[in-house]
Amino acid sequence: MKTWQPWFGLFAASGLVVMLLGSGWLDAVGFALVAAPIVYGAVACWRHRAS
Amino acid sequence: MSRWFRFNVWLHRWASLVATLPFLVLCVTGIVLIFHEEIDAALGVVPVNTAPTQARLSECMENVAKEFPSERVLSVGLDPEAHPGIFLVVLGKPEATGFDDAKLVFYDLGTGQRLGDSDPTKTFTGTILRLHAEWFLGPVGRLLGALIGLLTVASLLSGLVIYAPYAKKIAFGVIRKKSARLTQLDLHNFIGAIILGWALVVSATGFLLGFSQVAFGIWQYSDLAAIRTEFAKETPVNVLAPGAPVVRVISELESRAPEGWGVRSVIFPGTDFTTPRHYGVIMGGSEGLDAKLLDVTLVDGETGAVVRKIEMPAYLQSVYVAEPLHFGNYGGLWLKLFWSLCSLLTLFITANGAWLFFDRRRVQKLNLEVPS
Repeated sequence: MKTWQPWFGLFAASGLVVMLLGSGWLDAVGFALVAAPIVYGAVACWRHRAS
Repeated sequence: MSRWFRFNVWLHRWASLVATLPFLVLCVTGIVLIFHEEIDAALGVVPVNTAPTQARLSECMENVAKEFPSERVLSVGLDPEAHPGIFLVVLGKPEATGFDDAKLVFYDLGTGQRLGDSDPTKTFTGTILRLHAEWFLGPVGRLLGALIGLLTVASLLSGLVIYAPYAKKIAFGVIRKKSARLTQLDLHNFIGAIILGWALVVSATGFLLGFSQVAFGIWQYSDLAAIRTEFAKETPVNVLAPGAPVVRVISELESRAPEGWGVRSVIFPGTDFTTPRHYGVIMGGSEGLDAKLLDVTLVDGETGAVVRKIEMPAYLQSVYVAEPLHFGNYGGLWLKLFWSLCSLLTLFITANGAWLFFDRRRVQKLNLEVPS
């Protein structure tokens, strides 16, 4: 089991700060970090439901 | 089970339970406030001008003097990002120095004509903000909000400690269906893990914002008091008609500003945030950090000369930066939608956390009642 997975949610905090302080392409990087935990969580949940 | 773990279980349970009801209110009102600009525009609270320009700044100020002869200007504002082409004027009674009973008036920078006015505390979003930020209790309510923020941070961090051993046993994303309790517990942990980073940022910034008035008070009694002492010998300006008109001040500072920068707000002399002699001019950039930090310049209200920049202390900058991080209004519609989704998920785990607690008590009570 990959125990690092749950801590992925913390990525969002760094993404929010990157978006706040940066501009242009940094905004996109920030938003990717912000959205990643929810997208990853949704995929993990869907995979477990499917299996 | 170690003492540290048991302490965190206790902290998570009670910090969460105490904060449950107020936090549910904060989540609902917070979702409304994320979209306050859109709601205000739809309700016509802030008029919309489709021709962004600053051509008629002087005419706007002339009309303010004509239309509100018995009131004083406390501050003026330009917000080309959120309200292009709109000149925001904050008015108060001639003797007013604070902004508590101020009135907001909007002018069209393209025509110089008044577009409308509003009392920011009496609009729909203004009322929701007063509930969200201060529970209709004024400064005391703000501190109460800070306490709820602190309890939420405590709840999240203690939840993290409790979650660590759970994460080793249950694969990430697994929601067990054996019983309602297990399903709710897995959902609580799974959603909590997903929104942990966001929730930490929002609750920590909520805690900081609860102290915003205290922070401004400290600044007024320390830094601003020192600035007032420094210029104590200078003659105060007539606050109803300063020698240097605000239009000249704006034009002078904008001509000196680096590219992308502009005047965002000018606070008039003789208010709670300025000296009796000087304007406080807030400048800002259009993107990144430039748009988020407080940059204040002191301008002589009689001569219009730029005196110097005011270094704002780190604690005040933190409060200023905390606001967009709390309300999520700095990254466009997608970030607002993300904020709403996270608020709804938080609403869910707060409610289901309370359900888990009461369900456990119900089961314990039933077990006690069953004769052995």
